[in-house]
Amino acid sequence: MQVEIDPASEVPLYQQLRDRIVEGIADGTLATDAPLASVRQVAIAFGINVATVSKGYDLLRAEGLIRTNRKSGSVVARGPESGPPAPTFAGEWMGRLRTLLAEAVDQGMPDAGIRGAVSDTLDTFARRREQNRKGASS
Amino acid sequence: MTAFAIVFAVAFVVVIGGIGLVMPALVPKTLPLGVSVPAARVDEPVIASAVRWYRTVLVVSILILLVVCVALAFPSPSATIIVAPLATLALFGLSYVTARSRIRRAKADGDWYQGVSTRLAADVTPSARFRPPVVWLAIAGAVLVVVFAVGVALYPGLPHTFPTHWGADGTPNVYSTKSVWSAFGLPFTGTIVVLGFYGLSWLVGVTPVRRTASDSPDQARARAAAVRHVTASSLGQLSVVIALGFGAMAIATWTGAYAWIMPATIGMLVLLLAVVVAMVVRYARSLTRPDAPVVVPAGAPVSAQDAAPAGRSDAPDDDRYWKGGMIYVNRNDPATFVPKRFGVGWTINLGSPGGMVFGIAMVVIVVAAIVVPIIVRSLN
Repeated sequence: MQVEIDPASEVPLYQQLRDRIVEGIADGTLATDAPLASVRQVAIAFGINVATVSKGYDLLRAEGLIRTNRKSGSVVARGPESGPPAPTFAGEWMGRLRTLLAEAVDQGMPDAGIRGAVSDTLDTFARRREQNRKGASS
Repeated sequence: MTAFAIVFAVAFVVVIGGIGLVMPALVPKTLPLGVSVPAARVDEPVIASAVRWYRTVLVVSILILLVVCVALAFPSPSATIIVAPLATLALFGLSYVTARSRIRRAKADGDWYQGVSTRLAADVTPSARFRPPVVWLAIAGAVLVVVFAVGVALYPGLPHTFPTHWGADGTPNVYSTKSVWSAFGLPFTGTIVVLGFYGLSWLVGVTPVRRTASDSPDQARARAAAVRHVTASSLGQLSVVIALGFGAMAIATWTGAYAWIMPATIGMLVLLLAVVVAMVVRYARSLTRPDAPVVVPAGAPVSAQDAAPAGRSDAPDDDRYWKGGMIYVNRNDPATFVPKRFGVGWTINLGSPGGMVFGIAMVVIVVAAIVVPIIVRSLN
């Protein structure tokens, strides 16, 4: 999976890398058990510090989205089909969602627009996931 | 000696100068004279005028250098042989640095990257491992096997001493006594060179894909694959030419057909040059073609990022990592090898441990090549 990160952004590179991989899992580009390139390979491919990539992978590991072992490297550990989230997940995520929605409300986005954007995004994930499943089985 | 000095100096100055003249056409449009510019600025008039300035300075200095070399060859041929390459490289560097500083100034004054969105792009899933074509290695190997077989058959009948080195006019000037080493020196060397080239063609696979501005990630990937393929197959072709040339020379030595040594040597050099020129042309074409062919494998995953709209972002401005537009020093970049800024092939990253080791090894080899003969001569 090709990923683009913005070196001029306020968002740190490791966070951007983590975010793109999280999105890749949601839209099925990265299925469960799909291998990820090693930290060093990714750092060389981008031309960025190894520690930056390592930090991004650490975040993903802490969230249970990837697992790393010596033999097979890093692979995607869970995805939409891996069952319900951990009990602690919902509370923390709801907190962030609140902030994110508040940002849009503060900027004057109408509620209908916000709801539309949310369901569009979810639909896109679901559609791509379906396409990727078909692509993988054909 | 004077004639040789003149031919050597003229050939060196003309070939290196000629490469310098065509080089601007061989690099991506967003890297004119090794300065990174946004895709929207590639048609700025200052760029064309800087390239013209670069070519003019280069042509004038080549012509002056040719006159100086010819004049210097009469009183001091050996000085000419040393001066010609050094002066060529110095003048090449001079025209490059002065010309590119014009683009850099215009870029800084006009704040060209202001408001341009820049992205780094790369694969986070393991890409298929690059495998150099094995067909050339097989052909070169077959040629060498035949040559060794011929050598083994002819070895018992070889004279006690035979020539192993020839002067520039094609007459033998060094004779060796018969031994496995003196008889099989050429095919042994050929084998080492062929294996070395094959090793190098593997190294091509570890070099990273680096996106040039305004290429889509798929294009960058396709371009990198094309460049790797061209380089690896050209190395293979070179090894076949080496095997044929060294083989022909060895067989000419064993059979006493000394008249064939010179044609075989010249033929090999001409073929080597032809392969190198073809490689440079193919390499540049795959690098500068506006739309590299994008081959998306069937059933490849679709992601939001791959399906992004055509409004592409540029690769970030990385001029600060290129000292003098030639030497790459980026401590954050773990890559040992990176694509060259202004030229064909790859260069080392002096900011990485691997690049540092490589760089020091190169300096040691060059210094040793100059100093050791001087010490040996003074000891004798």
